[in-house]
Amino acid sequence: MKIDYQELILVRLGEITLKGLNRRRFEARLIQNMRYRLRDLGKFKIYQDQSRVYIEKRPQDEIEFPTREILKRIKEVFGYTSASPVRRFSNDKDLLYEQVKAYVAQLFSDGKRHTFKFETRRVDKKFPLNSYELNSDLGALVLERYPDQATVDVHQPELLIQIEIRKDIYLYHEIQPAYSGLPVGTSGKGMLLLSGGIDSPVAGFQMASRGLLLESIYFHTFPYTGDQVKQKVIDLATRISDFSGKMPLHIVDFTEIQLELNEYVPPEMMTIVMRRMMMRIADKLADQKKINCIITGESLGQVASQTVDALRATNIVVNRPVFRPLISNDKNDTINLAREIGTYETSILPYEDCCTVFVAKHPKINPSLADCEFAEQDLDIPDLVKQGLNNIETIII
Amino acid sequence: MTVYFDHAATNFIDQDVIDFLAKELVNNNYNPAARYTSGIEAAFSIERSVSKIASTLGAKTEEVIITSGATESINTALKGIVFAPNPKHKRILSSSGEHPATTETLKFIEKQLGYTIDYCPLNNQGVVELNQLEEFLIAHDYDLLTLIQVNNVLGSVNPVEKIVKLRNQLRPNLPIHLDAVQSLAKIPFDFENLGIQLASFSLHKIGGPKGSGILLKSEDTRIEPLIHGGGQQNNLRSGTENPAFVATMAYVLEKMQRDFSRNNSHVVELKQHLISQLEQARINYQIISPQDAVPQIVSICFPELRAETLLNILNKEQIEVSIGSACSSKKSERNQVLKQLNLLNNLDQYVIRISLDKNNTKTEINNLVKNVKIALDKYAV
Repeated sequence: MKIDYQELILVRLGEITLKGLNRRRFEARLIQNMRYRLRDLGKFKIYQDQSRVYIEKRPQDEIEFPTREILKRIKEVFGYTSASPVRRFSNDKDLLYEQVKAYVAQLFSDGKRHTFKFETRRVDKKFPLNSYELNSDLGALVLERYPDQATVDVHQPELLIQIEIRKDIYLYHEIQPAYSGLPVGTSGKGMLLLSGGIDSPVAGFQMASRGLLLESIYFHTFPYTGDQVKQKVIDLATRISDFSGKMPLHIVDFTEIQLELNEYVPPEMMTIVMRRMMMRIADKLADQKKINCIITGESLGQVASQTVDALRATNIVVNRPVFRPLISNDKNDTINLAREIGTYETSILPYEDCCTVFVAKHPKINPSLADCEFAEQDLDIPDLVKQGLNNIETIII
Repeated sequence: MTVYFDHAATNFIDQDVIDFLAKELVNNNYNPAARYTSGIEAAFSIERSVSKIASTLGAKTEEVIITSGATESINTALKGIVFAPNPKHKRILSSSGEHPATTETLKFIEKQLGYTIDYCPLNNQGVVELNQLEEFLIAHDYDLLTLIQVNNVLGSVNPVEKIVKLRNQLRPNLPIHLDAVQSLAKIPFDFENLGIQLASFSLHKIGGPKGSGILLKSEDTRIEPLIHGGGQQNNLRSGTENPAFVATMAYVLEKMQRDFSRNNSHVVELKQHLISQLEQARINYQIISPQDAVPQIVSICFPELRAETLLNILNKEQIEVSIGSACSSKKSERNQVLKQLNLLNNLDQYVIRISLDKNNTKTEINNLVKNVKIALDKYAV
């Protein structure tokens, strides 16, 4: 009996199966995103069937199916709940038994003890044995072959070996959880305010997981901040783009604006006015790019510029919703997530993104709107915004 | 075209040295421990080179140990004394103006071996205060006194002769180790005359290749080797000796000695020119290095602009200098030597270090000052 099987990846859809008429659009986008993420590995046959997506080798390709590499990459794609590497073969009882023997041999090849259980789903009712019979029969087979290693555990087995009997038979046990969320591109676009800190990359990740395509904006103040900071931001943007797809990074030359602010703005209001200027420029740029929301990594109470009053003062200068996914996060949670998504190590490199030269020792932490207007009265705001927009270097990450 | 003012960090290697080294690597590359003629010749070559090296440093041939650099030399000296089979007071005296090669090694000795390390503070001239040092010496018996001769941050020169006199008076058996890394080519150095027991050097500070260093050890000083192995260099520093490198080290040292006066006069002139240019440009500056510092190292404070910001600007103009303290709230990033000078208002973060050498020109100085002026005019807040 030839033990021939086809390797493929089975992707389970979650939330997007609830979207009704939009489901087709979401699934198509998910497949497109997966194709994009796998582009360096080659081309694959990716299609959707019921509430699943399948990734297979194309019939014309001779290469070995890179199961592990695919699983690694699709982990960074949003819009599904889990994926499994699967063996598929013809619907035949004897073949099934041979396949299971071979599969299980692999699982027990380490010589160690493992608990296991079979779980069969028989969609094809014409199959000679029913699920209960199959589970016990195959279970007995394994116990017989591996008496010193195998024990059955019906509650929390280490190896939950699953069999699905459809037109073909599917055999697997591994389930790789995903970040879930919605496929990037199904929720429109967002403008992310990116700094070299820990928070903003995480905020970008969070919003991308809700299906937002991202463009990011970073304010550079050379020579007060050096080129290493700029590189740090580019590195962070590159990492985020692994999750969010191609992402333009707009680098605004903020130095002249900063110096202007320094001239006319009272020192204790500098931080908040700086942030208002940055938000205005980001808002105008978002307008130009037809992007209808802004994303920041702000968290309540974390620094002086992030009190409720301060957030109101910065929020009020923009004309679109500001998403602050970290607003209620504990710093430790943000750090853990940053570590997990691989931005933490870059973020903590010691190049400061906001030069402390311009930050007052005692910034005003609860500025009223009147305070802000008073502090800005000598500034030609529209001109400064224009200046910002005219000094942008865009890199496509 | 880059303009290089960071010679205290490292030096360019002159073409004649490169040519010399290249030739040596081709013709003089045998293992000196080999028993056949070529090996024996290599061994003789090493002996001749070491003899030349000793001569330029005022030491005996037997007193020279070749290492991979000053950090290894310092580690060998300090750990060598500590691990030597001598009676111990378990106490070492140093200063708070030392290089991390010394301070980190001392921290290790303190933590792992339970030693007490006393650090004599620096005065506002960047050198150890003799009175304070005397107090330490009177109060305690030490296993070793380790000091930097020329401070790499300020260029200040510790009064080694006076310190040796004090030692002779108060603790005649106390061995002294000198970190002389910044001394060569800047001040005359004579091991015998100084009366010290150990001295560490690094060749890349005077135009030699990185990875070559020297430890001078007086014959009556006993140290435990740091590196064990084949027993080379009288078992003091095992490892296959490098005849080509050692010959080049001798070449570089002899060259340095020959050109010593000429090069120093040139640098003195350059330093004067720098100051006059700064004056002319009416720049707000303060020289942090003391009056009697070596002319090669000039630490300057520009109170109107942070050092890091100035560094970014100069770097864009391809002018290479170094800074004392990084612009950071983190304590560990602040330079320990500068902190001791008690500069007001965190001015240590406004200090840049310019280190000059024979290859710098007045035109380069003009370029530097011009760009500093432009930077201050535009970005000073």
